[in-house]
Amino acid sequence: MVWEHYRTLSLPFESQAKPKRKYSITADILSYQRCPIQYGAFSTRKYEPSLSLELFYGDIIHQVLDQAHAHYNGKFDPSLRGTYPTDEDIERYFDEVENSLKARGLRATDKVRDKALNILKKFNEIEGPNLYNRILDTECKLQADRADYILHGNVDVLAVSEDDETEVEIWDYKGTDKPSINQPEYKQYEFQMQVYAELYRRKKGKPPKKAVLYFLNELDHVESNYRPQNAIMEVELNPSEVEVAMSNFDKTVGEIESCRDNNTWSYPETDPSEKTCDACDLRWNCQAAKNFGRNYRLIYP
Amino acid sequence: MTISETQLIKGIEEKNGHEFNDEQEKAIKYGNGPLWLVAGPGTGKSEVLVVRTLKLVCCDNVDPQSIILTTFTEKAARNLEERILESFLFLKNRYQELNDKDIDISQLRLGTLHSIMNDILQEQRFEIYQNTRLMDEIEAKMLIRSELASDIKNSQQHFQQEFQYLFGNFDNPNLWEWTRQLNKVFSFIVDHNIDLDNLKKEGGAWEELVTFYEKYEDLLNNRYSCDFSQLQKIFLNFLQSTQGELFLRGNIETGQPPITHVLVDEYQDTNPIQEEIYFQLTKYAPHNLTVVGDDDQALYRFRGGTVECMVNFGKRCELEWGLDIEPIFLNKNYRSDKKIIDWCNSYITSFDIMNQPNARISGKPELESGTDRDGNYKAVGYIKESSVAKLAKTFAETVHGLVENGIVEDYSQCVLLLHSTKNKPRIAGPYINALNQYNIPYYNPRSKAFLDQIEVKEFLGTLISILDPSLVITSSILGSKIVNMVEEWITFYESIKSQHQELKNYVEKSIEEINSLGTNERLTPNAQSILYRILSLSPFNEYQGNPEQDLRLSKVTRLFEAFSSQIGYRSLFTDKEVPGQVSRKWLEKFYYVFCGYLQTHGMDDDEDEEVICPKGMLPIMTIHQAKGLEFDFVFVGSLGKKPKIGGSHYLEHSLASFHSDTPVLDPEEAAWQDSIRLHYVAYSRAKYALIPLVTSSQLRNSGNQTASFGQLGGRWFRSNLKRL
Repeated sequence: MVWEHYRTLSLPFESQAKPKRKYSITADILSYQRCPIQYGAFSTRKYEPSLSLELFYGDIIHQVLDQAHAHYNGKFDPSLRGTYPTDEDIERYFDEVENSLKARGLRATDKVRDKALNILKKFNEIEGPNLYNRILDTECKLQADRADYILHGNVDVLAVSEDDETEVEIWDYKGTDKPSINQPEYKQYEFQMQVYAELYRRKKGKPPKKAVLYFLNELDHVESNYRPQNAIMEVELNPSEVEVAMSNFDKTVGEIESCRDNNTWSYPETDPSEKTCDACDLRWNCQAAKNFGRNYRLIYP
Repeated sequence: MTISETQLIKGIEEKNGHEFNDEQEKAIKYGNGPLWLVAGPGTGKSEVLVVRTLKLVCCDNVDPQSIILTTFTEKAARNLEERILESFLFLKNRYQELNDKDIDISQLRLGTLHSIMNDILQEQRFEIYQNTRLMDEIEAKMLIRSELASDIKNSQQHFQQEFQYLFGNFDNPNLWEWTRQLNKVFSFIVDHNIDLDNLKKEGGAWEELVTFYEKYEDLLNNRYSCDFSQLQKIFLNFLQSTQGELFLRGNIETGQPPITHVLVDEYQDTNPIQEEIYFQLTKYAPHNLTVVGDDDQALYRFRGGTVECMVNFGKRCELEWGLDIEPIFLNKNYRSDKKIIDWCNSYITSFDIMNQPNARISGKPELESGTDRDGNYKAVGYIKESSVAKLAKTFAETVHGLVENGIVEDYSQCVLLLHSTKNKPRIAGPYINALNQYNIPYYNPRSKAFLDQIEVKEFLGTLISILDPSLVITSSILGSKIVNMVEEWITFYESIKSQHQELKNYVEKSIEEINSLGTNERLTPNAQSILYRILSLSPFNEYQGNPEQDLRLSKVTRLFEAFSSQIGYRSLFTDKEVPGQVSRKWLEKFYYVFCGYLQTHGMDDDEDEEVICPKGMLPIMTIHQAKGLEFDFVFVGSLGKKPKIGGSHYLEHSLASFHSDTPVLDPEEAAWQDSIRLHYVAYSRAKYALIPLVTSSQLRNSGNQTASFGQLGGRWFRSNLKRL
């Protein structure tokens, strides 16, 4: 027997330390908190959702706003540095993003398209003059090494504070209406900003002065040139709130890890919202949706 | 505050429990300027790379954002990142000085070159890359097949004749064969930085090639897409732009620091455009470009890699920057038993062809044992049998015996290395059968066995039963291989439908619904959504409870998405002329592009992203997969083969005058060198035992027929190595 040649050897198994996993604040933690079942299928088990442009709504808005910032910053054309994008510029950036999505077969209904464009123009008009010149950085990457995982997030905007040039604000854009205080998103968004603030503090040694959420859908149907009251939400940043937020995220990551290890994904405890279920590919046979009184009848084919 | 180099070295040595050797220490401490680090197998190059990076950050006070560190795979990148972070935290605990300043090690630009280029182009908002989507290889091929291959095949006059070697034995290659070769040539043009104007001037097939390539570029632009090769070209353009200049020199206004250090792992597999990118990234003095690799372990010529970048790094530094540099050699191997090291040395130096100019870095010392481990057993010994089936049985019996008798604790401490791991009778099949006989679980994600799985066949069979129940397309114009595959899928659906009434109802009602529609009516805004309705029903919702089956079903949804995004539309309509039938155009695309891809390329299961091989399983790997890995027992099969001259060898030669100033090897010589390197990589993976698996007939091959046994061939091998 060949193995007998090696009788003198006794080689122990050396287990490889698993690398720490990375968790994104929005794509992992908030997404899991919204619906663990949906998160498990599309993030961990890697199912590819049947995309519709409605789902891309948030992405388009982010991309065009980012290009508006890059425009002001002179990134595309140094001679434009310090100039505000016009409505035509916004339309042009919007068209480019839209064309790139169309090339992949993603088309929005006219209603969705017009709404997104209108919102972007409004934002540019209402907020641009007071915001763009204060922006220090966009899509700013933040990361923290936690005991069992690595937490990371992208802050949409870092801006110099309006009333104090030595201070910084963080801004995050949401392609939704402002949630009411009773909705779970309200608390989740607060947590998100508190954690961003903490990651920022660890990176720069000093916390931001303000953390601002901007709800872009509130700009729809606004006739005036003033910011509607509900468009922004300022999140309180005191150390004890931040601590609660961090431990909330640690807890969620612990839950995600345990779901991954057992390959079972629990039902959401709070309603993930009708809109979430309506757009979810798993709705045809989803106990979670049924638990919240939603029954989707199979359609053919 | 920083720490001294001595503190750094001492700290890490404490952590590792052993000391660095002189050459390792020299490489870690190396100051400014290009560093050419030639590191043989098992010589601790990754650790040197980790500590050198930490030296820059902790001793030289370099901003982590100023450092680019590239590796060959995502897995290797994650591993390196983890090691850097772990060592950094250790040093922070060990030296208070490092806590005075908040060093954000996560700001290192670490990853594969492609991921780093993609991140930088996005971060810098390089305008031509805005809104561009990076395609993977499957998507790129589906795009060529869907939009380009047919036009090119029909319009070409000289191409096929000139490039006949690419098509091998096919006199009348089909469109997928065209797709495969066009994809290869288009990548070659970019990877080798070929001057299109010169190519065009040659006329004939060369001019035609440029026209086709330009069509492909136009297509990518129109589709806002970019493939892996094109990404390199765009990035090089970026580096040469004003924006790129700001990126390299640093931008005071945004506070982004300059790029001051570039470290490249596995440099022997770099291609010429990547070489250019690395030299551009470090174009400003003092040119802190560290390249690490081993010319003897270059494996990726077929993907554009050219070992000459590593071999001639010194010359290039002199030519480009007027710097005269010498390589630092790491040759102390801490991995293998001394007898294995001796075999590796004698193997690679036995070949005259490896002593030719440009084959190896001159002055390279042989590997030495860093541990002097020289076991009293047959560390190198071969198993010989009269047939592959018998060989496979002895192999499985040996693995079984090793674990049963506590010689190794777990199957995953052994590996079987093969040229191909496809589960086919003449390839990995016999080994898999033998492992099954001994109840040894194995891990073989690259077996191309994805399509053999019932859940995949039933899933696709159900989909086709709905969308094309009378097989209107397949019977008339598709090739027989695709038809057979599709018909088999349908029989799988047929065989389950009686036990799964809900599924049957869904299929039948769907067919009725489609039949009831007229022409050009919309069935669904997104064809992918049909997949999810099928998945919601039994047996598929049950399969999803099994992790392996679940992952395969999810892979079908990913492949379908790749297909949908490449054909450019997602909604599904009834046919424009025939009422009650799915659009013929869509069905044709589905069969030709989606099914055609699967039929011609096969499909692998997903690989575990976190572990090399799950515990409790024996890994079966290609030698390429085993790059950078080590195992206690290494079994090497598929020996005795003649080196294969591939399309890349011919392309490199026939396009030589358009990409190279130095003489290019003839295809046969290049194929021999590559085959020798491939064997060298396989042999040098072993820690305790290297066991080649050979049949009597394979051993009869001489050194002119195969590179498996050294220049003196099978006879010499047989009489000089021990048979087990």
